Amino acid sequence: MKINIDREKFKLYSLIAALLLGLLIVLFPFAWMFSTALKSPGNAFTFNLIPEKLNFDNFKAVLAGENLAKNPEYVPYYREASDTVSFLTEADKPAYLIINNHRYNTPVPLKKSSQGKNVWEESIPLDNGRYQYSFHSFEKLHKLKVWPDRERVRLEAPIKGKTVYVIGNMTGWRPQRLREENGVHYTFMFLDPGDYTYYFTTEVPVIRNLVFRKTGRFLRIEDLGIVPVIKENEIEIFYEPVSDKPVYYVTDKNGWKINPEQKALRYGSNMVRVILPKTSKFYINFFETDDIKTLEGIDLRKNCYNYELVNDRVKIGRNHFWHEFRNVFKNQGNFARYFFNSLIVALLAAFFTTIICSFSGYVFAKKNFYGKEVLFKLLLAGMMVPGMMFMVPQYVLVYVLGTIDFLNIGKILTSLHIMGMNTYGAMFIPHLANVFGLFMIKQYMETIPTSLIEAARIDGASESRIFYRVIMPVASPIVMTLFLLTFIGQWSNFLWQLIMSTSSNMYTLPVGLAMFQGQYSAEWTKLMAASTITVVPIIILFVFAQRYFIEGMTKGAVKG
Amino acid sequence: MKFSRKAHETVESLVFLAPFLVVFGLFLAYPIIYSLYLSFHKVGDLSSVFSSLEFVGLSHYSELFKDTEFWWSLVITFVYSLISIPFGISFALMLALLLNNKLPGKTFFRSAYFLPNVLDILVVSMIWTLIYSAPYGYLLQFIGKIADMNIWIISSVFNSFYNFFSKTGFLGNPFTALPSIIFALTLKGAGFGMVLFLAAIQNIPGDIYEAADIDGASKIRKFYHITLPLLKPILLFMVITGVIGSLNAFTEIYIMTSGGPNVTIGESVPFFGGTTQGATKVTGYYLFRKFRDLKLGYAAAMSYILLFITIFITFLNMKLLKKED
Repeated sequence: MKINIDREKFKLYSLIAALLLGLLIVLFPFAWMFSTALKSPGNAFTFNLIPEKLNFDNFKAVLAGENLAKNPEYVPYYREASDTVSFLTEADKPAYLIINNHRYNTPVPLKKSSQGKNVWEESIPLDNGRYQYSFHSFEKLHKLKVWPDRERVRLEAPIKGKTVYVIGNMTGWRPQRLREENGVHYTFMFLDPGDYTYYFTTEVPVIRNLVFRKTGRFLRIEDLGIVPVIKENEIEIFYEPVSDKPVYYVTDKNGWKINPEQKALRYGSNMVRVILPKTSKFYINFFETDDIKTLEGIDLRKNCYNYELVNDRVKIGRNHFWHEFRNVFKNQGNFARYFFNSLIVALLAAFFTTIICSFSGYVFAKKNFYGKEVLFKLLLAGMMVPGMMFMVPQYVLVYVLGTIDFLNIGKILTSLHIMGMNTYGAMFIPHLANVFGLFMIKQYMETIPTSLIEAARIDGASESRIFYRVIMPVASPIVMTLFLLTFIGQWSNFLWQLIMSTSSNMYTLPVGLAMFQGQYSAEWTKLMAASTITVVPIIILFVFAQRYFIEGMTKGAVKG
Repeated sequence: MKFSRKAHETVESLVFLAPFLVVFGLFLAYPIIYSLYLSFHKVGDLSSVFSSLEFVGLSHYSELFKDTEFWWSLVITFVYSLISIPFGISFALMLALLLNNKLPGKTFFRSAYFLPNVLDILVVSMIWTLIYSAPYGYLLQFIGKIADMNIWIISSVFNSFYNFFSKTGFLGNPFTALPSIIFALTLKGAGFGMVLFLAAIQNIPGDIYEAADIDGASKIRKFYHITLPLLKPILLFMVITGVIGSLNAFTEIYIMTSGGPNVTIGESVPFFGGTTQGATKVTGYYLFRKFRDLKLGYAAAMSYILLFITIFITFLNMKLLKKED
């Protein structure tokens, strides 16, 4: 008998253990999200799930739209006199250049530049071609000779830090992370016999791609564009369009306004050139379009280039977002704003969906009218159509409704945020006719006894009074369920809101997140902080109203 | 006067129905027809969609039939549902069977497993993208830790895993990209199926099992011969929603792989030989790409083909259901 009880207990414990293990796996991503959001950016890649110190800076940063744009950096330039390319960087320690040119297999030391205290510079001859370069600062360059009889080499880093990388010609001068065990950072490498140079670091250098063409003497740097040419009083900026369409430019100097005169002239076969008066700092952006009207309503500052001139050397940055302008355009382009947008859209959607679905659900449940069966079947058939199908026609419809010329209707609809691109209305109105919701409410209202309605009618209540005073109070649980389901549905709607919002101040949380990921995929801690902001409201809602969620989603699903 | 009563109610009903019908007509019914119209036309410029469109007849459709990328995306969508549906169902069923025991904290487990279901698919995809990434992704680090533990053969297996994925990550390898996406989404969606199965299992009357007990049936036999057949409606429902889900799959692909990584198909493969295709480019994502390139007519034609596929599958399902009855 006693053995039997123990067996029961064993079964119970192993069941609970299995369920807990499953739960651990299912909820792990969210635990990791919280943990990463609370880490400092330097510790983003650590294995530890419990951050040593709670760090809310990431949340502050994404909520305030902190300046995440990289500061403009020096770009290499061509020296005509010596036929060399000059590389510059800013560093407080002696800096070295690594460039994947056969002539420079080891780091090239840079010399102190006349530019400033922390600027390092060196000119090297280059052939036409594509290169990758990066700047490094290191204490000591290690040398290693691998003999034919040794194939596995253990490298142990003499430096301490959260994450340590080894960089050398065995890794193509790319940083490779070391494993850590008991505070020792090490790695095993399988190497061919030969000579190697490497060093250890805790900082990852930025690797830039460079295209150099001597004819025309231009240097193109991936992400930063073509290096401009500085003249006596002006600066020549080049841009490579990807299409044959005319190229227009906008700068901060004229307040980001676009006008037909700001057309960039062709230069050579595949470039355009813009000549601007020399100023120490400016922003510029390029657009390729046949018709500048298509640029209306678009955030012209997005992905703009940011130039800085320091003693006739150029620094270029790429401002992927809004950040540089946050003082000018308050409330734009930060997750606080996205949160607000999401909240408005989800609340309005939930409110209107429940209202119109209750109206029609009531009618289908309690009224007898001509064409009821046919209409209901038609609505149900609409439910079968895959959602992807509506993307194209709904987009065209919204676009057209927002640009009706007749009586200025389009402008009025857009300015009232009812319909048109970048309006709140366009983000939820097309999804208001929720057949699933109608079906759910109809099912529930059919269980309300008709005698209740008859009694109210005998008392002389009007139809609308019966609906608001008799039906709605009884149906409140299902109405609540539909409200919540629509709310979370809209909160996480991505595709539609992605194509509806072209201006960053209309982004909702998912769209803002996707854009953020596209631009700052390496900013893990901030990315996760923004993700946390997106899911926490829903988690809180779920904790308090889980019954509505679970029953609403599953019961309706099976019957539907 | 029954007739006038019904007429009166019809007018009343229409007033209540009006808002729903207007939105339904304008944004759901009309777009389906308009999409068909668009699929026969070439849309050059958005500003001219309602005034002057070039009629191209069936050429979008004939182009689609020759478009290897489109057929490839259908193949990928098929593979996607082929992996995700059985995996999703078995995971959900397993959880439901585990929960269908007497144990404390049952409601807690039910809610906790269900929770990821209500969360944003975009956020989930984003988290998993980072977990799967190389070389700092959590999964790779985890594998590296196990490899470092020096447990005989496990270490060497995990070490080769580590080395294999350390350059591309799990989403950068064409063979693991799709299964990785499916794994992430199955974990997210498992709670939904679990609740459905659990409700259905609890609805099975206990005396059936008692009768089986008297006949001396084993647990496994009881599962295969009683539980599983009675869960058939739920299973079919999950298959259908799974297929429609894979036809609509977009966000996870957009965030996690953008349709990549690209693979060049060997010359010997019929139809696709020699072409370069995205290993995770499902139809939903391909449709979006065409839409983004403003090939609206082409995208509309594609969505019509998808509609027919959905109708066909739904029809097939209804036949299967009828057979059971």
